[in-house]
Amino acid sequence: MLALVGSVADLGGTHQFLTYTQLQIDQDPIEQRAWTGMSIPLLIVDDSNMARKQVLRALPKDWDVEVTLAQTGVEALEAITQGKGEVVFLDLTMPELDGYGVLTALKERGIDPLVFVISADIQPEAKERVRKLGAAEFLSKPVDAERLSELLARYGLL
Amino acid sequence: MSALVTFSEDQRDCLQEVVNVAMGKAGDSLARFLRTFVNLSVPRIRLVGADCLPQVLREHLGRDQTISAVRQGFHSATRGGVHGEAVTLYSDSSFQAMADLLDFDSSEDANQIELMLDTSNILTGACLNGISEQLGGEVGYSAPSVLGLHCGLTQLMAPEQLGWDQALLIEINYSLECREFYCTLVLLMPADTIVALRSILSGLLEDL
Repeated sequence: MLALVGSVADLGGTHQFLTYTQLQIDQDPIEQRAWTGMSIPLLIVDDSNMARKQVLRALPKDWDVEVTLAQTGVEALEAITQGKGEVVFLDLTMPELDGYGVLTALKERGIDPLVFVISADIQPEAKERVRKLGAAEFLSKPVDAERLSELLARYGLL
Repeated sequence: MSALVTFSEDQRDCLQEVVNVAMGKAGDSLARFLRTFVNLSVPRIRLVGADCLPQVLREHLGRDQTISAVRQGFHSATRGGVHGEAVTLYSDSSFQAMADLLDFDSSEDANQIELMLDTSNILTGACLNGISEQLGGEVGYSAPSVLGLHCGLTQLMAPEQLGWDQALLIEINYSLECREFYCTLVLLMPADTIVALRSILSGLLEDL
């Protein structure tokens, strides 16, 4: 069950980030290798409100995460620095600082979150480039919930 | 001319994302055709008057360049009669870039036209199919035809050429690294189409 605190609809230009808390209703056993006993700080970065909503909707229902949304690469870096993005869903094509820029900046700063790129740019070379810049996985837009769950399971996040 | 119809912020954002995804598909098709990496940027969507179109498009294609262009009409029978014109514009420097990549002689106009028609067909097809996949319904389009060869933007995009006063302009820019290739795919939809598009976008947003 997904409980959103705040309204996705009022993600206007002035908001820095909105934090959503996903409450876990069912206490089914969940494998949490990396983050046992706590919610995973998940950051969703996309300049499009609709794309952020699509990703939110694709999240596994019972995934225990604390979601932060960022609209720009700059906001994303700030959130990651504040520990709000241990797992990051990152768009590539964004104005100003794009996804490549975010990955490059993270590399330079020696910060290493688990980054899943979710992108409309589906060129094989785009995938290769983001891998080289440290992204763990690449998903094409619009994001497919099943594939996302598969990948999260593979990384021991579910 | 009908009164100015605009999108709500949510509708505009939704259309922007739909176009982003379609641009990515078309970019991938272009990259496979040219066997190189294609740079994508955020597509621009706005309502424009026919008279300011050359200024709008000049930014990507270059101020001093002569350009060549191909047009294809498109229509969707199922989705409230959404229709328009897809125009692919190339800076003339692009022919050399494409010829190098494809190992093709582009010195003759006939070869340039062939190259331009092929490339436009690939880009327009992938982009329009990408949009209609997301919006639902099918889109049909006409065969590509040359709109102009080696001319200025003002001449190519003259209001009397286009046959409308105001339209929704979707501008998708493609470029290559280390090569003088500047291509803009423009989707122009007349004002009456915007109403139909708005209702389709509202439907998509409700499903979210």
